Amino acid sequence: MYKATILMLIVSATLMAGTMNFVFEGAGVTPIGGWGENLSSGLSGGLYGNWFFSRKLRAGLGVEGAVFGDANQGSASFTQLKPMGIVSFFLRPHGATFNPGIVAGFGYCMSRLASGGGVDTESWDPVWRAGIRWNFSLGSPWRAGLGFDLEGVMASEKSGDAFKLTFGISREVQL
Amino acid sequence: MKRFLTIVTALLLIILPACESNPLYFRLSSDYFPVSPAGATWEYSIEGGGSRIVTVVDQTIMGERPCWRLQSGADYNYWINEDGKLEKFEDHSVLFNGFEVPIYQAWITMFEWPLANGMTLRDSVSTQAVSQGVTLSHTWIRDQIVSGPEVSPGGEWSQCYRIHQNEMTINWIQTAGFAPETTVSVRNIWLAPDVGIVRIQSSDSLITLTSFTGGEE
Repeated sequence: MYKATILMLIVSATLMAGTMNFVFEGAGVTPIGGWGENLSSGLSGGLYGNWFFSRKLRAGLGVEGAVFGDANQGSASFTQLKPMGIVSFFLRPHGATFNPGIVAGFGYCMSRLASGGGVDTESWDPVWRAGIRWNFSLGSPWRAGLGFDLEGVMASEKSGDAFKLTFGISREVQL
Repeated sequence: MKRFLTIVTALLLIILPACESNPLYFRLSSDYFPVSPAGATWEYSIEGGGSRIVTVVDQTIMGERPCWRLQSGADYNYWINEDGKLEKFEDHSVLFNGFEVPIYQAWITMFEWPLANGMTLRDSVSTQAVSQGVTLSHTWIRDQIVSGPEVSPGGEWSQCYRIHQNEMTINWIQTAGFAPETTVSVRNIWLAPDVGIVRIQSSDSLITLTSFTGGEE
């Protein structure tokens, strides 16, 4: 309760004024390295709130979830939950059809493996992501973006790297 | 910017104390029963004296499927580790009236990947054959429960999964003077990442890995 109160106070203070956008981003996730050998490609979805420090530079917070199935019609599933801080920079923020940008994020990833009715101990590890975006207008205040990310879960002994093809839509909000 | 950094810092302070890291991605990328390549060798010591050497000999075809052949003493075993499961070729026969009667030949699933704590597996075979006018029936049921990850009892291997196996076999020669013979065996098997079996423990035996040499790819 104490921690939740602090979080609510901080978020409330942040939302007093300015411009924000809210982004929903979905992605197809392909594991890189042996950790995905028995898992299928994954699907992820994330929701982010970005603060506009300038029209070009934004930073925000969000949470992303990803799920992977069994690669061999078995019962395994692997899930990730990633609260993250995100920074993005776009070159032509008003561009109707071409607004290239880069995004980078850092946060924590909760990973959970379930298989055959069992569940392994969850692991919390630092996670980073970096990628490029092609952003375009869907008619104010809506925009969309396509891109790809490289992502790495910095777990002990072996990192969980992945490649992501992303599609997102965003809505700008004046506070 | 200062406000943003404050939020991120506060969030990390809230989240981090609840976090616990473990090598989950390492376990996912590890092979817990490597039956290839050729040349891989496991040397086991048997409690009470003796040793056992298991070697991957070569690739061959068994039961119309390509597989790896492993030698243990004078015996050969045949294994396939692909498509998310480990399979062993079982060739079961019984001796009846001086004849060796084949009961079944089949690929039996030993484990499914990935392993996880609390995972349960059940495999069974129920079959029969007729020899000299007598029906010979065979039933085999194996229940397995996975626990871990844990350190092997000797403390040498970490991130192991322990397989608790409960195996029941019922052989029945269905003629006068014979009753069903039921055998129950219980054992624990510890599997280490990229090594395989490091310990097998049952009520009357203990087998421990003393050395492992990977083969040449």
